Amino acid sequence: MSTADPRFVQNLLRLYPAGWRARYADELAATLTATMADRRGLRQRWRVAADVAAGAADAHLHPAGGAAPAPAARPDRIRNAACLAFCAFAFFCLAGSGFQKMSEDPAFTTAARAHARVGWSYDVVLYGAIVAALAVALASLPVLLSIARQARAGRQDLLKPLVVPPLATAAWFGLVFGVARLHHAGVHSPVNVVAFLGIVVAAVVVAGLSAAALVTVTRRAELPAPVKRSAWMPMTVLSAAMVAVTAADLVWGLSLPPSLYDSHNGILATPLPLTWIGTLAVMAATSAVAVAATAQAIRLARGTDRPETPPAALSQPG
Amino acid sequence: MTTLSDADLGRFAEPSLLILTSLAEGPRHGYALIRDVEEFAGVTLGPGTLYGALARLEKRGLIRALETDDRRRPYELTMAGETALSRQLTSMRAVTDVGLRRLAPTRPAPATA
Repeated sequence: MSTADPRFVQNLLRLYPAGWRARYADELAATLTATMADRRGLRQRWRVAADVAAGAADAHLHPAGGAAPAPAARPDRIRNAACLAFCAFAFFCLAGSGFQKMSEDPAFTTAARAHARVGWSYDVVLYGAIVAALAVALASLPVLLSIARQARAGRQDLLKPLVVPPLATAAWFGLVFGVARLHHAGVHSPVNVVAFLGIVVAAVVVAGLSAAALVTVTRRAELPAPVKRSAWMPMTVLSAAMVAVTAADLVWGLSLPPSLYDSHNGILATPLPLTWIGTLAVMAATSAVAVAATAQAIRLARGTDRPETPPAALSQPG
Repeated sequence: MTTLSDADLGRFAEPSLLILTSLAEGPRHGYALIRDVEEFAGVTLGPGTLYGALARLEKRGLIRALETDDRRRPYELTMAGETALSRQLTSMRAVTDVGLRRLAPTRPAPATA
């Protein structure tokens, strides 16, 4: 076996620890092959081989010294950004539910009719939420189809996490119905407040678990690269809708007649302004995350996530 | 991390300095680094030494790996890498200046008008 033989190179690489090889083997093999081809004489080549063997020994002796994780490929990074935006949307939906619960009181319906700004800002929240949901559905469709195809081909492991969202949601509704049966006197009674906070915390847990389960499936599935690369489009619509809804929530709250802010119906009824500020804060934070993730996805899709300057000396063999 | 000395690179300190200097011109993959270092420093880095140093520099955030071009993966300097290299070279220049000045033959001070 000569030193330029690919088998010789592969044997040298086997000297390295598995974790190190997983990260660097391909590129070291390319560099090693080019270096071997460049060296004249057996002695020089054996010197290179000895250097690699010493490097392998060092990798065994100092495993913490190197082997940083490889950067994910660009389509995978777009997928990760989409997953982040989706998680943000899951929590955005919680704030949206809070807004809906807060504004269902007849006093707000009357205010929407009497004050134009309250009316149209509420409409923007409503239609913005529909657009955001459609964008998520649009982005999810090819993912779900791909997962279904892979599940049919034997990837049953992809289906297990999909059980989490319906189960968790059903459990949450069970909790809500259970709490609703508690006829405790006084809106602000300790039992009611604890029950309400329990419902809110449970909703956050359900949203988190469901989002984590769906993200897990999406990351495990082998999605076609075009599906991942095109995710920035529905993400852009989603982010724009989330920002619009957040802005409309702000306008809506600021436009309400002052008399509504005087209501003291309690934390379980119409708790303005605390609930409004809470929903607004969550909407703003999750929208910011979605916008940042979308901007990252767009940069990745356009290839502007790193300097455009052409890499120097990349034309040399290696 | 202020200088390369703080990076605790052990026997990879010198190869690391050469690699960072090479990357200061732009991204390069492994073999291109070996050739460039040979050209500007007259030092031939073996692939084992090169990747031992690259792994350490990457782990310490002084360089970052870019996407692979076929099997070749280019690396580029990070901001932290630029700063560490700049401080290291400045520190070395100070030592070099002092050393050269002390080695220089004593000359009479130039006359002033």
